[in-house]
Formats: sequence, C-alpha cells, structure tokens
Amino acid sequence: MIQPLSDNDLLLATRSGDDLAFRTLVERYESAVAGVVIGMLGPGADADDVGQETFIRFHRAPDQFRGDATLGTYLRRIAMNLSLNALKRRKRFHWRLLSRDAPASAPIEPPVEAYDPERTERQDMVRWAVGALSETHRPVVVLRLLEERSTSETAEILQIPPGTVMSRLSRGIAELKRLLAPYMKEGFDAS
Amino acid sequence: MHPEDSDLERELAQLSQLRRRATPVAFDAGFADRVMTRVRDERLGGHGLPWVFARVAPLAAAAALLLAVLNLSDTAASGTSVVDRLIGLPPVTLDAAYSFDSEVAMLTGVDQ
Repeated sequence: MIQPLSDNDLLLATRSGDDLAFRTLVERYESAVAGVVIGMLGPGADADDVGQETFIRFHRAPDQFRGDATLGTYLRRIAMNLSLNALKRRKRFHWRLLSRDAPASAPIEPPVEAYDPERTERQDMVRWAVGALSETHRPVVVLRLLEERSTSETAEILQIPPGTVMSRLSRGIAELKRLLAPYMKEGFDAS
Repeated sequence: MHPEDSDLERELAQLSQLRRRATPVAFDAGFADRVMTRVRDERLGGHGLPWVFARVAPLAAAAALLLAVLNLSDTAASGTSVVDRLIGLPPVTLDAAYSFDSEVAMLTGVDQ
C-alpha cells in the first residue's frame, strides 16, 4: 500500500518548485482554510478570494514556515489575518457608502444578513449567529466553536494569550446564546 | 480548571452539538485549480498593476530627477526661468517665434 506523503515531504518538494506537491498541500488544507475564511466572512467570492490568497502567500515564501507550529495552524493564521483585513476593507467600503449620503454618521459594522427561517431548517443558525458577532469575538468563536481548535491552538493562531481567548470566548458565547436563545432548547432536544 | 471555565466548556459543547448539525462549509468546486492558475500567472509575471507600478515608479522618478538636474546644469547661463530650465524648454526669442511660424506654414501650406 502506498503511504501518502507527509507534510514535511510535500514542503520540501514545494520549496524546490514542485507544483504537484504544492497542489497536494492545497487540497489537504483547503477545508481547514475554508472553515476559517467562510466562518469569518460568510460564503461567497470574497471568501474564495481570501482562501486563494492564503495559499498564494504561503507559496511565495514557503521558507517563512519554520515548523514552530503545524502547517495547519500556520495556514489558519494566514487565513485569519487576511480575513480580518477583508473585514476591515468591507467596513471601510460600507462607511464610505454611508458617508456619501450621511457625512455625520459614525462607522458601523457591515450589515448582517437578515435571519432566514428556512435556514433554521438547514441547521445553519450557529453560523448565522457567529456572523453577527463583533470583530473581536468572532475569530475566537470561529476557531474554538466552528473549527473546534483547542484554546492553546486558538491562542497560537491569533497570537494572543490563552486567558484572552477564554475571556473573548466567554463574551462571544454569551452573545451567541442571546442570539440563539429561541433555537437552543429545540437544538438540544432534537439531538 | 476554574469553575467558570468548566461552565464555558459545557456551553461550548452544547453549541458544538448544534454546529455539528450545520451544513459543512467548503469553497466552490475547483478551488485547487484556481489557486494553481494564480500561481502560474504570478510565475509568468502577471502580478497585476500595483506590482508593476511599485517596480517601475521608482525608476521613472529617478530618471525624471536625473534629466531635471542635467537640464538645470546645461542651461545655467541661458537666462530663462528655473521652471523652463527644469523641463528643458528653449528660451523664447523673436528668432524662435519666426522659425516656429515658418515650420507651421510648411506643415499646413498656409502662408502666415
């Protein structure tokens, strides 16, 4: 039986310019990056573009990965940083649009998609609620709740202390519970 | 573990239960192909306008500065203004105006 190549083997090959090895890494970590990017930005062209950019950044400088963390953690970190940049761009864009009509209005969070009751049936209410969280709490909730990363890996990806992860998570979950209150009981009873 | 942390873990587990029933997220089909296309484009130099601008602009600025300095040093005693000397305009004299008129006449066929 043929053993799949390890990340290390694929990395070495990628560093020497092997496109097939790089493609294998993309396929291996596509879903990890998608979890972060779509969790932060929601599905769509924006998320796809940030996902591609994550792998392009890695491809431009594979030597910057020194192996202090796993490759998955490293790619999630790039994806999270790029997602936060994309959120800032969105915010600026919305602010510009708003300021054109109402110059005195303060910058606000991009509008969160209205809740669609049909989506409840598809059990997407958690993702909807995560999308409504603030920029401070969302990264922690995406990594800990949606991606089920440990507290220490979340801290490593976001480059913040584990205590900060816990406090942000606590506030994020309180907010989630408020948003999901009508559906929580139903969700637990059904499981 | 702090008691509040265990409460948090329990709440997280409850929410995770809900999350596991959510539809899995993924990029549209062909994601790896799209990444590889961008890799190939970059390799062929298709970095986009900002990349080209960042490399060409400093060279263009240096060349413009060099030409301006050369113009200034070559026309030190010409008696024209600094702006004219910077951009290399010839001094405006009566002879120059007449020769310009005759050049226009030759081009248009109309006697001034």
